[in-house]
Amino acid sequence: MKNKSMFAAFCLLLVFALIAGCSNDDTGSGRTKDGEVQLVMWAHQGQPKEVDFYKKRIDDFNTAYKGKIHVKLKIIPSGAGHAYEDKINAAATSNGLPDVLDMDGPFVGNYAATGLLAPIDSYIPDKDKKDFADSIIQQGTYDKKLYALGAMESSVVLFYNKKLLKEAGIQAPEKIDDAWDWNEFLEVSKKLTTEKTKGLTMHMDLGVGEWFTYMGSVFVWSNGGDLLNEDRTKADGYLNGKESVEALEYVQKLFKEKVVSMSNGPTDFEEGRAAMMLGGVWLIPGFEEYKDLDWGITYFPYAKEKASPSGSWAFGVSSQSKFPKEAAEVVKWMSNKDSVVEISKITGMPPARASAFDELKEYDEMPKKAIKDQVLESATARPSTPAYPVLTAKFAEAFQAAALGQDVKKALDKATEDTERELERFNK
Amino acid sequence: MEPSPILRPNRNEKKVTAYSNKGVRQFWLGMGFAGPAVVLLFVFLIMPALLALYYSFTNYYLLTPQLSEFVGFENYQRLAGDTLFLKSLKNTAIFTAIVVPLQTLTALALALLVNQKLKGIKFFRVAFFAPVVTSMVIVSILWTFIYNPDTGLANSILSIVGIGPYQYLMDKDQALYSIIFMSVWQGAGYQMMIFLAGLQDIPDHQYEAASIDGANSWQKLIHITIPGIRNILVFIALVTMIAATKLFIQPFVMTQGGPLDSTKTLVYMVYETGFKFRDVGYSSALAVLFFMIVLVISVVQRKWLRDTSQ
Amino acid sequence: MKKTVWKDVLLYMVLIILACLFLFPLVWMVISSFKTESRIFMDLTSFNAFLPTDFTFANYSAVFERIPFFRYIITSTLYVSVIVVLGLFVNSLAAYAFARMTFKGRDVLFAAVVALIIIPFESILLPLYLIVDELDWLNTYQALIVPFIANAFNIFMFRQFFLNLPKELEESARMDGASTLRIFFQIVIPLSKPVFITVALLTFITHWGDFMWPLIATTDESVRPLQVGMQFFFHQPPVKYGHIMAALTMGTIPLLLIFLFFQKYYVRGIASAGMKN
Repeated sequence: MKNKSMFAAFCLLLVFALIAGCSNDDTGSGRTKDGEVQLVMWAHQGQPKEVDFYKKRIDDFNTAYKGKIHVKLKIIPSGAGHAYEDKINAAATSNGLPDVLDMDGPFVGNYAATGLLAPIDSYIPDKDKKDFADSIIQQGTYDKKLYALGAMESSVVLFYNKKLLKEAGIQAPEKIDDAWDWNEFLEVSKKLTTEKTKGLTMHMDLGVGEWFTYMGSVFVWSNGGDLLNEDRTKADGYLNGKESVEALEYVQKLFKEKVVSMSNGPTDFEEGRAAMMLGGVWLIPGFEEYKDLDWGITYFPYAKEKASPSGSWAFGVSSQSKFPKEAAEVVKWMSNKDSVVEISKITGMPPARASAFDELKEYDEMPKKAIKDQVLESATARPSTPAYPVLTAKFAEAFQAAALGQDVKKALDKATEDTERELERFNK
Repeated sequence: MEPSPILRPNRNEKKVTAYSNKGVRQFWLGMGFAGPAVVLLFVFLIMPALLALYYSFTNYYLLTPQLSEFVGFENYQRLAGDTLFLKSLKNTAIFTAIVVPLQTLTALALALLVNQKLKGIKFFRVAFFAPVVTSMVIVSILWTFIYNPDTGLANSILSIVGIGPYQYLMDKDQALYSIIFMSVWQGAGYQMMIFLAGLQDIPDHQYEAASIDGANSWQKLIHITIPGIRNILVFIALVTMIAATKLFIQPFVMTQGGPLDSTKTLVYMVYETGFKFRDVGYSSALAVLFFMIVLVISVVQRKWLRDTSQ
Repeated sequence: MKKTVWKDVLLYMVLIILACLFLFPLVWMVISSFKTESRIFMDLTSFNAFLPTDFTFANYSAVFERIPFFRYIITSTLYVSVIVVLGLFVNSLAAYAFARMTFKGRDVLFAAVVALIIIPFESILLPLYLIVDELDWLNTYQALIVPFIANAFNIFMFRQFFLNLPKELEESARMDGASTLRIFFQIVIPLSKPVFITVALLTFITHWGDFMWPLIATTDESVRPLQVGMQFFFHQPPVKYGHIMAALTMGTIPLLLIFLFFQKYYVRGIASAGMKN
C-alpha cells in the first residue's frame, strides 16, 4: 500500500509542479505609483549578437527615460518555420499582445488589417521618415498609414567566385548602372557552367517558402510587373499579368539551359560547385569558414527596371497597448540613427537609414557598395496586404513550378485564383 | 455482474431499505472512477470535434474571431471545386492504396524469412526492425539527403547497377512514390514483429503432419501459415490503412507538399489552411471531411470483418 | 542433403541483401556524423560512405553549440513520461469502473467512449488549438500533456483485461471490508502488470513520435520536444550534413534504450494488441 500511495502522491506532485512551473510571468504593462509607464516588448530571437543588441539598446532606453518609461523586453524564440508568428497569432486572439513588438516586414499588412497594430504616423516626424530607405517605409505602410519601422535592411545580391569568373574571362559589373540585364546574365551563366560547376545557384534547397518570394518576385518587378495592383486589392492581371509570366518564363529558361540546378546543395557556392549565387546578404558572415573562397558581389540582374529584394524585421505598436504614445517612443528609439548604425555593425546587415551609411565606411567600396546601391536605389518592398500569407505561399509554388518546367501561365493563374479569394475576405 | 452465492443473501436483505441510496452511491463511485477520463475526453476530444463541425459552417479567420459569420455550406461547396483539395485527396488515396498491401506483404515476407531456423537469424530480425527504432522525423530528414539527385546516396548506389539517375523528391511524378518507399522501409519491421509472434504461435505439428502428407513449402504456406495468421493479417492491413490516410510528417519534412502539390495530402491541407493561411472555417470543413472518410473506412472494415468471420 | 545447403545459401543471400537495404541509411547516418563536411561529400560516390574514413566529434559539439539538444531530450522525456503515468492512472480507473462496477448509464457511457476511438486526432487539431489557447496553455507542458491523458483506446484495452481477471480475490477483499479504491490498488493493479506495461510502452512510443501537435502548440524553445527541435535544426542555416547527422544519431538513442530494456514486453505487447482485435 505504501508504494501505491507514494505513486499517487508522485502523480499529484507532477501535476502541481507543471501548473506552478508554467504560470505566466509577464505581468503586462501599467503605470507605477510615481507615474512611470511600464511597457512590455517582444523581440524575436535572431542571432545571439542581435539579441544582445536589443537587450543593450533597451537598457539604454530605460536609463534615458528613467522615471518616465520603463520597458521590459522579452525575447521570443523564433526558430525556423513560423513559430514567432504563431505566438503573435495566439497572443492576438487572447488579448495578450505586448505594447511593442517586432515582426517580419511582409506581415505588417496582415497584422495591420486584422487590427493587431496601431498606426504610428502621428509620432514620427516627416523629416525623419525621409531618412529611411523607401522600401522600409513601404513595408511598414498599410492602407496609407505607417505601422512599423525597422532598423535593419536586407537584400539579395549576386555573389560571384572571383577565381572562376577570371578563368572564364568575365568581369562582373561594378556599378549599378552597368548591372547585367537578363540576356547578359544568361550568357554569363552559360559560360560559367562546366561539367563540374554550375554557373549559378539559387538555393532551391530551401524549398517552397518565403525565400522563393523574396528572391523570385524581383524578376517580376524588374520586368515592370507587380504581384498586386497599386491599391493591393487585386491580383488578377498582375500576379498572372504578362510581365509576371515573362519573368517566370525567364527563370524557367535558366533551369532549362541547366545553368542552375533544382537540387543544389546548401553550400555549393561556398565550396566552389557554383560560380555565382543569388543569395541573401545574411550569408556573408558564413563565408569566413571557407578559406579558399574568394568572393565578390555584383547587382541583381534586371530586365526593364532595376529592382532588388528588401525587407527585414521591424518594430510596431500593438493596438492592445494602453500607452501607444510611449510605445511609439520605443519604436522611434529602436530605429533611430544610433540604433541603426549599431545594429548594422553587429549583424553585418545593411542599415535602414540613408544617413547611417555615412557612418559605415565599408559600404563605400566594393563588395559592400553593391548592397548600399541596391538598398538606396533599387530596393522594392513585398506588397503590404493582409492576404500576404496566401500570396507568398502561392507565388512560391508558382516559382517552383516554373523552375520545374511547368506551364508558367497556368501556374500563375492558379496562384491568382487563390490570392483573389483571400483578398476578397478583406476587401469586403 | 453476478454476485457470488455468499454475497447474495446480504444484498437481498438490504435491497428494500437502501436501494435508491445505494444506486446513488454506486453512481457516484462509478463516476469517481470514470469521471476524470470522461471529463478529459469531453473537453479535449468531444468538444473540439463538435467545434470543428461548427466552425466548418463559418468564415472564422484565426486573427479575427470576432468577425466570424455563419456561411452555411459555403466551405463545403468550395471543396467540390478546389483542385488542390481533389489532388490532395487523390494523393492520399494513392499513398494508402499502395502502402497498405506493399507494407503488409513486405512485413509478412520478412517475417517468414526471419522465422527460418538459421544461424544468426536474430541479427536479421534486428536489422529489419532497426528503422522502427528511429522516428518518422528522423528518417524523413535522413532520406531527404539520400534522395538528393546530385549528392544523394540513392543515385550513387543505383549507378553501380547502371540505373538512374532519378530526381526523386524533385520530380512531381516520383516524389510520392519516393515517400511511399521510405515509409514502407520505416514501418515494415514493426509489422514483421507482429507477424513473427503469430507465426511462432502456429504449432509445429501442423507442419509436420503436412510434410508427412507430402505437401511442399508453398502448399504449407497457403494452407497452414496464412490461415494461422489470418486475424493478424487483417488487423495489420486495417491499422495500416487508417494510419496511411493520416500522412503528414513525411511531406511536411521532405517536400512541403511539393513539387507542384504532388505530395500534398488531406491532413497537410488541414494544417496548411488552418495555420499558415489562418482560414479556420475552410480548414474545419476539410477536417470534418477527413473524419467522414476515416469513419467510412472503419465502418466498412468492421462490416466486412463481421461478414467474413461468420 | 545437398539441396538444403543450397537453400540455406540462397536464404542467406536474400537476407543479406535485404539487411543492407534496411541498414544502409542508418549506417551512413552514424558514420557520417563522425566525418567532416567535405569528407562526407567526398565519400558519397564510393563505398567509403559507409566506412569510418574520418573520426571527429566536431559535429556533436557543433550540435550542442547551435541548439539546446539536451533540453529537447529532457522536454520530450518529461512530457511523454507524464502522459504515460497519468494516463495509466486515469484510464485504468475508468476501465475498472466500466468492467466491474454497476451504475446507471455505465453501458451508454462506455459505448460512447468506444465510439470516440474512431475520431482521428488530425481532424480536431484546430479547435483543440483554440481550446488550449483559451486555457492560456500554449507554450506550456500542460498543452503537451493534458489533452492526451485520457485515451479511449487504452480504456478499452484495460477493460478487456480486467474483464478476464478472476473476480474471487476482489470479492473476498470486499468481504473483508476493503474499499473499492483499495481493492483496485492492492489487488487489481498487481494482477494487471502485463497490460499496464503494454499500455505504457505503446503510449510512450506513440507520443515520443508526436510531431504535428507540438509543432503548433509550442513555439518556445523551452518546451520544444525533440522531434520538432530536429525538424527546425534541419532547416536552420547553415545546413551542414555532419551536424544534422550527429543530431539524428543522438535523437535515436532514447528510443533505442527503451527498446533494449523493454524488448520482451514490447514484442509481446504489439503481438497481443494484434491478436485481440
